[in-house]
Amino acid sequence: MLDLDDIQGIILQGYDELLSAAFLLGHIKDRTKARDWLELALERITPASATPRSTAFNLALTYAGFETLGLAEAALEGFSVEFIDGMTEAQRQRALGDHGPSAPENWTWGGPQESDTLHVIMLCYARTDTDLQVLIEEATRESAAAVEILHRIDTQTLPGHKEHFGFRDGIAQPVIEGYASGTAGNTIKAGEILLGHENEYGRIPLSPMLAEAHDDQSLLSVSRFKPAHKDFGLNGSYLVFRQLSQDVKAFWGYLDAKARDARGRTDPETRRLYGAKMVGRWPNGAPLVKAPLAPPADDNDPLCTDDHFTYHDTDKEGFKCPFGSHIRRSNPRESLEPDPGTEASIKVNKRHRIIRRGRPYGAPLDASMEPDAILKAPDTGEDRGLNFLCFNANLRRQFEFIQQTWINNPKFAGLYNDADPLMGDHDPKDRGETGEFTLPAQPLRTRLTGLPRFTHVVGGAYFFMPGLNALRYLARL
Amino acid sequence: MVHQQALMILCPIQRGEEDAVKTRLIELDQRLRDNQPVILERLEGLHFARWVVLDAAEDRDGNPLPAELLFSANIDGDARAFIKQMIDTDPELIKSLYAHCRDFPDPQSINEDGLYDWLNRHTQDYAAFYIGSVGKRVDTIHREANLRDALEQHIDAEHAAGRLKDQSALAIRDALCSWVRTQKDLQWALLPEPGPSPADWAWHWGKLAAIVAAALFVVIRFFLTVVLLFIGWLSTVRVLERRDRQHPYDDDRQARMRHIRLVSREEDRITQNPMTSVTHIKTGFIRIVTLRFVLWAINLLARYLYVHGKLGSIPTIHFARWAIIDDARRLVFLSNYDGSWENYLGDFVDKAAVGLTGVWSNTIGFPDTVLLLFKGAKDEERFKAYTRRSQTLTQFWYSAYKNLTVDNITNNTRIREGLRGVMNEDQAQEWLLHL
Repeated sequence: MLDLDDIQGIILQGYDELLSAAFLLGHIKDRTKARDWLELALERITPASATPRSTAFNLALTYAGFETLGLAEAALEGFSVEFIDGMTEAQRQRALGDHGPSAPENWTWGGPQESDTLHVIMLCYARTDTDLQVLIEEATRESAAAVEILHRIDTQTLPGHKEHFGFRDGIAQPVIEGYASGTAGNTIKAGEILLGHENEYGRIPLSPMLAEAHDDQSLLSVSRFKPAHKDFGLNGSYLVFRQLSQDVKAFWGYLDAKARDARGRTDPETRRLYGAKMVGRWPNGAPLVKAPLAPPADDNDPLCTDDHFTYHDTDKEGFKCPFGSHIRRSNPRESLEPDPGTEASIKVNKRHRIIRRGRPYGAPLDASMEPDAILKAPDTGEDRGLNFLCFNANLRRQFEFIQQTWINNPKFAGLYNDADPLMGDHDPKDRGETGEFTLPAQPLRTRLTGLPRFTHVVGGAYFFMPGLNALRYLARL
Repeated sequence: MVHQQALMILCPIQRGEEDAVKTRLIELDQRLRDNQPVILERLEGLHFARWVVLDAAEDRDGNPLPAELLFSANIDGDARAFIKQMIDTDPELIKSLYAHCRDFPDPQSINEDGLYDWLNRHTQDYAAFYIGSVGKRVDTIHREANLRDALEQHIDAEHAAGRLKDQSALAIRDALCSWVRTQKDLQWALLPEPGPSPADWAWHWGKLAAIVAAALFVVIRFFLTVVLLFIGWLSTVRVLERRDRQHPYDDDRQARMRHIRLVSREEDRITQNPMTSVTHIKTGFIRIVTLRFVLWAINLLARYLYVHGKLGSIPTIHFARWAIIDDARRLVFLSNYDGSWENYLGDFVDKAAVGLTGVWSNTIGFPDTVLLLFKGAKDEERFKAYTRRSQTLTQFWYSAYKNLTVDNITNNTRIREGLRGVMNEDQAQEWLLHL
């Protein structure tokens, strides 16, 4: 049984009805005042047991944030290496493809240019923009003595639940065992997202822990990992936040050029098909595996939010949904070894799932989200893209694995030079050519080459979102 | 050749000189990455090679082990011929490296023959050797990769010109074969690849037949003895297992994390990664005998069963090797694999846990095992922590085909093979899917 009062709400709920959101990134100025502030913030934090109607508030900290608040060395050592070293560490940069324009040196936040160390993120959600503004002002006032707000990252909900390239997003999401019910293949153990619980290997993983003596107020629960210890990390989760800038004009411009016939005229059907092949779903969300030739005309068709499909038995050759398409490679389901198409494959796939809580930012080039309008729209230089957020219990095996072994890997599924077409790292280095996209077909494949990088990273950090008891412990240290 | 060969040269380094050797190796590695000439890329028939310094350490009983210089290469052809080729290509570099080793003669006085003899005396046999692309020569791998590139670009050009559309698979295949025939630098693909001679094959399969015959004979003739021995052995192993201490993996976190950062520093620069791992074999007669037997069995499987690009169901290994060193006190594992460390280890835990456990449960620090094969590597966090701890930085590493995975190599061969012979529509279609 999950203690929903202890788990912060955003981990288990998407707050889908709270369409306005913004994130405040802050630096802790004073340890004592920060502890006082945490005590107040605890009243504001939305737990998973609540059903927020008008606003929601959650918070998470970086490793530096926990250090600054004075968490004991023993507990700090229980965090994962990835979290301690941070997203900008050299090894991590290579794994995540953050180089060239996407290198941390060029980030607007979270990189080495940052004047003050990033310690805390406050995630604010509200039903309306007005409510959001009020919430932000209250949260800022409440934390002012302790926290200096370095950045405010706004979000923008787009028509049709789409992201900026024009495709419906957020359809696929794993279900946590014990919290909600879903299909067997899509349900994962709580320990894949929350520390202190059994994961898909049937174990309780390492967690930041304290000797029992250090928790004299008995705020924390006993650790299931190590006897005579208290689990600081229980019910917490690692939060990945990467702000991804999307070059929407370049994306449709590329597809437009590729869909041109011998006379130089673009066929909009082909253009849309190429885009859908790259994503794995049509713009309105219908999966290619189930609608390979054309999407349902009605955007409210249940097929548009369909997440119940498999790859191996219905599309082994990738004729419908290419192997390199975004959704097929970010969640391969039962299509990879061992024994594709069987339980064994799904069992392994479950070890690489994440819970996504991203939200777009920036105004759309055109409210219709249609390619022709997008291509004609004037480029005001405004930045737009996706605030990618996800939760997982093991950064290396889950988020980083997906990013490195599936998304950015030009060798995924036996391919040669196909990194993810939407967000893959296409700058050739020692890894050879990566800017191709193969559309398997009979008799012969179509191959798109020279893909530029459409998505760049402009900011990012690893956070840990503790349970409420853990935050209380920090507040009363 | 039926399959590639493994070469390993191992020698202790003179006290106090290991840092100098490491610095030199790292320097050479950097030069290679900067595309400057270093010895290895000029050698023929070389798939992968590495030079590693094994740090000075204490053995399982606390006795000192010197730092050692390890050289490993996966090659086409004969080990002795390869050593000669290395010396012929750059004798000064070889001499300067090995001059740091303990029983190396005076560098001024040693000549190339002396160097050749000395290196040969320091070669080390392996206990098990797995090959991903069995029998594939380096030059074949390169040529087949170029063939595929040329074909793919040709197909793209044909598509752009509006040709190759609305044709049957057979017609497309014919067109592609004709085109290859016109390309001077690709015509070799239309000829069959020279394989091993019948004599080689006879020797290869003859060995297996002899082993099977001998095993059957012993088991049938001495059935009761064999069964009793087996039960005795298994029970002893179980008793030993129960006595083994379970090692924590959350101890000494700072040191562990420093070590992880060190050994993973050079990872993920190209498509493949190297792994060099050294572990201490558990004391006692039963353990070493078990280890040797398990490795012998794995080697047998690698020679005769796992010859299609997969070790069990792991498809990412180009070459993997186990060797027992230091008077049977340590086990060294060397591999060249595709993709990230996390993916590789994940594959071990998810797909090959039993085999691995059979080998490494005989080494100190491995997660709790039951009956040699069970549990063990399935303890994901502990097993990965154990592996990182056993890993040492590979200072100088070379790959002859930096951006080809095992899958790519196998696929390239299918493409090349499909250019020859007669096919029907279905076969032609199946072949086209490889492009």
